[in-house]
Amino acid sequence: MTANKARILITLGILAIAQNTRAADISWTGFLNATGAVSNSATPYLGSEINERGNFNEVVLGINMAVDLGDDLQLAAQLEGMYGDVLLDWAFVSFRLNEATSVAAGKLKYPGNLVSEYVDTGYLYPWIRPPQEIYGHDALGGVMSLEAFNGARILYSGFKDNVEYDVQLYIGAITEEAMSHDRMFGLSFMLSTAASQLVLSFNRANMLMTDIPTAPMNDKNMTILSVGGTTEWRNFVAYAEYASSGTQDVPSLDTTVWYTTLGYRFGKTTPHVTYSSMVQDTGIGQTSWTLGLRRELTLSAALKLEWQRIKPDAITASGIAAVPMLVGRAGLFGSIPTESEIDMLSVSVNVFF
Amino acid sequence: MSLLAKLILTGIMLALAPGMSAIADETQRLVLVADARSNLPPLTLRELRRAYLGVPVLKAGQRLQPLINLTDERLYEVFLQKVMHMSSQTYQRQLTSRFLRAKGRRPPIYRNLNSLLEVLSKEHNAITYILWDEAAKKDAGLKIIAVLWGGKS
Repeated sequence: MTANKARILITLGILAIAQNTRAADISWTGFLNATGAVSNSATPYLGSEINERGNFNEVVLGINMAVDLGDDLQLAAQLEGMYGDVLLDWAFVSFRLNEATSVAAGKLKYPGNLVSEYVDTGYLYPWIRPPQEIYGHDALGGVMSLEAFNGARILYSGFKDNVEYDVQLYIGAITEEAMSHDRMFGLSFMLSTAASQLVLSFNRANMLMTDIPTAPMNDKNMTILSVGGTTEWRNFVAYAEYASSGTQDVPSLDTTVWYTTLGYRFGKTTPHVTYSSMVQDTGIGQTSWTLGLRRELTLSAALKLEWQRIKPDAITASGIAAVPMLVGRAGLFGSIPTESEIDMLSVSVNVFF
Repeated sequence: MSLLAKLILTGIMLALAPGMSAIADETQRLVLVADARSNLPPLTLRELRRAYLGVPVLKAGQRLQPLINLTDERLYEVFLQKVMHMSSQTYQRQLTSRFLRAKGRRPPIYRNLNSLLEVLSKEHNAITYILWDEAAKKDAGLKIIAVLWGGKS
């Protein structure tokens, strides 16, 4: 089946469910991000070709629906349009076993990081892009976060006073452009209150690179450990997250990333500052400062401005010897920039509906 | 680049615009209401918060059906600040996280007052919040379940 046919069938399936269900039984929500960015370097940053020419390519529309198929059975799905394509971002059916426990199967969002479950929904966090040292995994061998996986999970949750807790155990697999994460399993633990959230997680998967079978990480286990927290106190907003990944028999791919964000709400305006760091034993790494401004336009729309200064580190000779396929890489850039520091400006409108 | 510069300038101007105006005068109270024929008993603040986070809450043998009153954005903002103790961004983030974990559904949003009152009159387990003032008192179709905020900021 071609990808287009699959998308059409998914869309028709969702529409068929919608058609056969009372309108009141379906919950629809969605979001839109419209982002423009320009840097002072000719070397493209991230996968979206941000360079000195600038572009408005980062336009993402997401539509999601949920429908109750019985007292304890729920179906939910999200379609996302980006870069001219429509993708099934996630889709799952969930069954509640009792008040505290549920199981779900389908394409599920990765629960391992603070914002990984809604990483594309810009309205829900202060930045234009969540710190890419953790969330921009596509551009680097070390994988610190994932998007969505095909599989199943069991979730146990409850309340203790005003604290809600979740324990989630999952298994599955992810097929991405560069590699597949096979035989994946993980555990995440989340504590949340009205103002704070803490996430701890463990994830292990077997990496398969069928296109490059000689790659040193092919058929090796990779483990990700991460911890993150966010809180709001008076008008202060803070985020901090740390993650490390290790690859079996390839110590050069050991990667450590972290960031911290501090912001302050002045009415509808929130200036914030973020420092991020990424270090891989191949020598690839980067640090970045981000100064941002978020302005609430309405209760469901925000305008954001950001200036970012990125200092990338290129792969070393020993890194190339250990992982030759990463030759020519520096930070999250497509190749090694001529500049030692790169400035980037971004502007974005995020809507949640 | 010039387009980007204009956008940045627009953003800075918006950011410097005056903040939110006063949200309610002292003669108004933020109250939780249901249909006058409803037999819902009084709710605790904790039950109310959970219901609005999508947690199933049973009262008098019925599952509460919380409705988001967005007929006035300032009213919604007061509800989030004074009752849920969170910003709109945080509230939506918590709802989204719960939704993705299949732990609850988002309360439906009503931007039209007539539609909201119609649902309240039909669904006796439905609740919402309104500003209780002289005008609201004339509507005999509602009863107060709880007083949420006294009107003084």
